[in-house]
Amino acid sequence: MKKNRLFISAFLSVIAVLITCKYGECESTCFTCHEKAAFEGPVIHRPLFADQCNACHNPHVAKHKGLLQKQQPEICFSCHTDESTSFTSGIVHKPVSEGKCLSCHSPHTSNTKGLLIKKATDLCFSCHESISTEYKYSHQPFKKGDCSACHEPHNSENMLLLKNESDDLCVKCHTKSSVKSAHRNFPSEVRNCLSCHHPHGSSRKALVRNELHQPYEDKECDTCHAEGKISSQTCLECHEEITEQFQKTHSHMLYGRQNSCAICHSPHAGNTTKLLRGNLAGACRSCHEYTFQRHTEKLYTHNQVGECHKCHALHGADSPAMLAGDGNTICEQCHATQGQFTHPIGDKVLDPRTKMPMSCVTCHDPKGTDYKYQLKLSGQKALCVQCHHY
Amino acid sequence: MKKQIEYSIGAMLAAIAILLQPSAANAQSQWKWAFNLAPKPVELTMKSPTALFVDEGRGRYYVVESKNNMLLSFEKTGEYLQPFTAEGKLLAPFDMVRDKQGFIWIVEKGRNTLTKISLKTKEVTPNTIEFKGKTVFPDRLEYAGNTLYLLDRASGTILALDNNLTVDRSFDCKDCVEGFVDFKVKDRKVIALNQEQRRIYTFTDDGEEESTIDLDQENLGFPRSFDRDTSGSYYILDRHRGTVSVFNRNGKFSYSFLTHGQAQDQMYYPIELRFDPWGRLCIVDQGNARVQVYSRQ
Repeated sequence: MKKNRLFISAFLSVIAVLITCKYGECESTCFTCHEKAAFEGPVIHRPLFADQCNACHNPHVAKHKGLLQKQQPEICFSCHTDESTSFTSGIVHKPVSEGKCLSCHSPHTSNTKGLLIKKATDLCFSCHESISTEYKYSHQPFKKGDCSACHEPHNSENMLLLKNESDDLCVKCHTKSSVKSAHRNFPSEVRNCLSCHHPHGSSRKALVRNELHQPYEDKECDTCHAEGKISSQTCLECHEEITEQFQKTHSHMLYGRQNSCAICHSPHAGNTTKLLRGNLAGACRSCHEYTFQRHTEKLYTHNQVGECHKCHALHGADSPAMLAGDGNTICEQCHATQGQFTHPIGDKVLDPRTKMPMSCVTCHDPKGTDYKYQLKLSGQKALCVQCHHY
Repeated sequence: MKKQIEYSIGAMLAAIAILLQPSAANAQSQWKWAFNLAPKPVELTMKSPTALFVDEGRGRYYVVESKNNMLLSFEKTGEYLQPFTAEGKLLAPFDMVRDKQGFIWIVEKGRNTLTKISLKTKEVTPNTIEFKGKTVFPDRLEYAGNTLYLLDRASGTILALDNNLTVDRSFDCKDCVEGFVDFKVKDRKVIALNQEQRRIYTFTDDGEEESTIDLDQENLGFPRSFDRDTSGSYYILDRHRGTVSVFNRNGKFSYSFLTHGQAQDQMYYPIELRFDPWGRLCIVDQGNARVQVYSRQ
């Protein structure tokens, strides 16, 4: 009888706690142990502000660390429902696609709007370390650390997570008339701003990129523009050595009436002597977005993504996917010991399915797969029985 | 209660019907693998086939083998005949046709030429083609009605050449940024594929644009080659996905078949698709170094 009374009173106590917490009065209970000062700040997460700790935490038991009701991002999306769908479209910022909301946001309090864990600038540069910050001339928003003036933090339909197409973005601050007056005698509508201007900074005035195409630097516009429309053949008249690289089964001579060269290279100014439009990965990604997306969605990916030139011949090659060699020689550049002790490969070992020599890419997909070691199928069995039938 | 049981049985039967459906990818495929074109002996393994030419009169297939610098001939039954190397003079051949006079024309990527070969005199003549003062980068090649049709990779324009190999007329889309990636000549019409817009253009033989068909975009990744069957359906070869997607004459997606990979009924960076005169569908599967021939079931 006494036992029953004890049980009932314990049960009622638990119910009482749950009911009170639900109505935002758990402060006294939770903060009996958890020091309240640690949860105070200029910006407070709404459930915490409403004293609803149990919106995220279970007071008794949970499967997840921190007694969380669910893991991130599910716990975040249980309130931020619209974001659960809107954050999946277009190009998605890596922490978002990985569901790591807490990489950037604090779950409780912050000194910064948006519950950011650091000042916005510091936060961006904590990952994007390779972005130079030292320029003689800097773009004002960049100088102020206002990355979000141009970039979306979560996802965007535009490359580099830009808020708009780059030209549309520029004219939001730089009016069309001011752009026109800065480019007097420009033969057509001024566009492709990033072709010549660096959006962060430069050692040249007007943020013109540091390396200039020689005819442009010498103000000899007629070298390229004499005949009006410029094609890739116009470029090859001077850069003869590149012609041979286009004489391959596959090349970046792109079946187009626009200049194939100018898709990757800026004809006027660039960051390096190659005059690439942005960095290499950016230049590749501007067309091969699907390939990059496919790469990021896989569980196991190659860690050299972004250094496309290490495996691919960028102008042209006779191998599929414009690989700079066969499926062995390319891999052995980095994986020197492979092929010496692994599954037999080479000209004398033929894949029974295709009668082609076995190579690294017979079993591995270097772009990334959902199987360990970037195997094309599970290495437990499924991959092996493709050739080794029972 | 009786009604409930009826509902349950109905739902169960519906579920079973759904489960018994074949997979969507091949649900409506009418095609069955017939044979591969493969040379013998094994030492002559194909390494990188890039094109198929079908000689209806002789009843033969010719495969352009770009890495071994040779052409491989096969009977229409798939039986291997012989290699042709032009005495070692070919450099990265990419496509070919045989004209009515018996001359072989080869696109040589390695020389950037349209090369003429006389089998009688064994003469090999590389020709550099010019168009509007620019050097043409030869790509796909077709022959119809005594005319050579050549795709210029640099401009994406299809060029009809006269007997002197000068450009007699051209076929291009005036409203697109990029040009064509593949074309076929059928019934005195030039039909061309625009990869960027996923659109099929049809031109009259004098170069006038006659019609366009927009293909359902969502069903295509990297369309690289195509052909049209006798019913007017378009078969689009998707190089990256390793699939063949079929669209009706209005561009509406019907079904797709084959998948990405190395096994049978899979493709790895396929490069060309065409129907042969005997109604079979031939796919040049470059990455798997084979030509897969399919016949209707």
